[in-house]
Amino acid sequence: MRKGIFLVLCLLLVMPAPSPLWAGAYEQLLGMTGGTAYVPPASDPSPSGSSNYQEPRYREPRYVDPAAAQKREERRKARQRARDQARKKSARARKDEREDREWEEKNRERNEKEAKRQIVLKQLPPKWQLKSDPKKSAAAGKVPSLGGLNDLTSLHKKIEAMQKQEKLTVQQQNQLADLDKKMLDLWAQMVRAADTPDQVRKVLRLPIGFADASSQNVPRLSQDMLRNMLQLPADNDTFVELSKDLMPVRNGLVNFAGDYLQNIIAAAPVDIFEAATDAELGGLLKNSLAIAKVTMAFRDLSKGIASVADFAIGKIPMPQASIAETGRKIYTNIAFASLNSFMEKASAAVGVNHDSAAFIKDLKEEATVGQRAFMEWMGVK
Amino acid sequence: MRRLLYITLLMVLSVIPLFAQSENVEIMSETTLLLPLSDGINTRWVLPPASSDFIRHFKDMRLSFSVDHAGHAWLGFADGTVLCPEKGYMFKLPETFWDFVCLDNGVILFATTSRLSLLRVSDLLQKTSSDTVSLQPIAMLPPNCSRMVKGAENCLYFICNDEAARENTIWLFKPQSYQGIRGIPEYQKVFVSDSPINAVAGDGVNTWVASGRLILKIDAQKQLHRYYLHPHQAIVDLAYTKSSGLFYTTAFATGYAGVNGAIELLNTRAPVIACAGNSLYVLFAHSFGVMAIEGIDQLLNYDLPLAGIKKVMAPRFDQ
Repeated sequence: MRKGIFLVLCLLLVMPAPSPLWAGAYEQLLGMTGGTAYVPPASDPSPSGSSNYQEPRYREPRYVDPAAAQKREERRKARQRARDQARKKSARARKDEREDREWEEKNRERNEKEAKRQIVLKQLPPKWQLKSDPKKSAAAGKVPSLGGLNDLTSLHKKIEAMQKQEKLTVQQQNQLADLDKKMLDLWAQMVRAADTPDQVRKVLRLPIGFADASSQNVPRLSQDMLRNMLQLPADNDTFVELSKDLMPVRNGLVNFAGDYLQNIIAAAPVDIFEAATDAELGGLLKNSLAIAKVTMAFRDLSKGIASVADFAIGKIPMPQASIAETGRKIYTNIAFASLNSFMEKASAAVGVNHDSAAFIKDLKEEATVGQRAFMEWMGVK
Repeated sequence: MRRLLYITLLMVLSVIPLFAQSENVEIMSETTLLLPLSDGINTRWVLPPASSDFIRHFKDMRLSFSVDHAGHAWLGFADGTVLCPEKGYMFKLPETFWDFVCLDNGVILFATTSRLSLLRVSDLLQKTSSDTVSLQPIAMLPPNCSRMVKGAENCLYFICNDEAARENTIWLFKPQSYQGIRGIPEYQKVFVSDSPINAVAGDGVNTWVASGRLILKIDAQKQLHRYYLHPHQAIVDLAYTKSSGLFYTTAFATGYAGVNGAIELLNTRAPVIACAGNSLYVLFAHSFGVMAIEGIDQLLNYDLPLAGIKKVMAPRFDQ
């Protein structure tokens, strides 16, 4: 019985509540009329014709004194002026404050930059100038405190300005030649100087120009010319049989030692072929292994046989294991010397223990010799 | 006494591998040599092949190869690494370069993006430089250059390509013999071509240019001549010495190009060549081994028109 009551209650709870019959009637009405419903306001419940009715009071016209009004207007204007002045003053104060703040920031940045510059300057030589060895170059002492780059730049500018002139007098040409000479010397000094900073080195360059091609009659190979040249008879095709004893060779000694030799051996007539043993061929080549010896006949300009010559065809043996091992060491055991991280890692990877300073000294000597040779090559003393 | 025993034992142990090796000689694959049988001409290993780690690291990089006046081989790689194994030098430059040459007068020059530069080594104690080894710019290069080539008599050639004008040019720089009207050395344009230029060599007076299979000669009078036409392959590089003449490489060979014909001295894959003194240096690009063919000046004696083969001595195939 209890279960039955409980089930009924549960069903009542689960079942949706039936909507009333009038539900949505108002909305349907609105839809039919097409507008909103007008509900008239409730009428005043107070009874009409009450006994405590009051007549409206009479107000006399108010008198305004023009002088007082003017004074009031003046006072208002004065207050406005004062407010404007105060506003301007505060704006000026704010502007001043902002400017002061900006100036302080700029000043601080300037000081920081100056501090950094001082750090850099301390690392640079005392004077940023060339210190070429006066013993090596007599002109080195004359180099102004750098300066050197400025001088080089100004020389460049002067030279360029002179070059822009259409016709130079003899005097101007001499002047230009002097400038060129000066510039070359100065360039050489700056390159030689050990203390020239990297930034300066990177912009140093010689004004090596390009010769005027129009005046030099430069040969030109056109497509037609190339075609004609290719159609000329091949160099080695014109074989003239001089003797029946000789075996003709197409293309001369080109690709002779390759597969072509096999064909020659295979096709060689008995009278020109001679079987040989390895021992007979063994001593022909000093550091290689001969596999054939071929006697060639050459002709002279009169088409006769001029001479004969022996050629050896051989194979190259790989270096003996001990030498090959040495070679591998040569490649891997190289004194890794540069100070950059790549080489440090590479050096560590192969476990090389090298004398870095000695290597740098050796390489520097090589580079210095090269630099000196370059100066001589360029005609700079 | 004990020390003597140790030394003897060590000597015996060190000799055993040599005996073992003499039995098995390893031959370089895909490589054949053709040399005149003459006393002065022979081969010599300058640098044995490199280790596999080295080859793996550098094999795909652009390589520059040059030999200095003392006959030392220098290698430069696209990442700025330069090495001269014989002298024990290896360093990495802070800036990359696309070519470098060692001239016979001792000058080592690098071509960076647009500048010609010298090698510079600063003192360890000198604090003005952040890098110990760096490049000192010298001058601007001719525009749009792709190769810088060492010529004989201390001259430099540049191969440049102006794609906009579809013009390929060769510039020469020979400061000791040519200076402009101002008395300063200048680059000279020595050749212009509509076709691509693969290689150049010369001494500043005579110049040889390779385009496709053809080698052209520009003589002192600036006249063009056909010098040599390779029957099979395109010429990829040239090298010239005053004493020996002109050498060329293709993708599969290196040879001597005389006036009367060519002698292909070496058949191998992708050789790289350089000349110094009386030797031709061949770099085997797949192993970085360098071999010198010495006595190349004697090749001039064999620059004659070939008549034919007189005799062949070789083992039979069945032997």
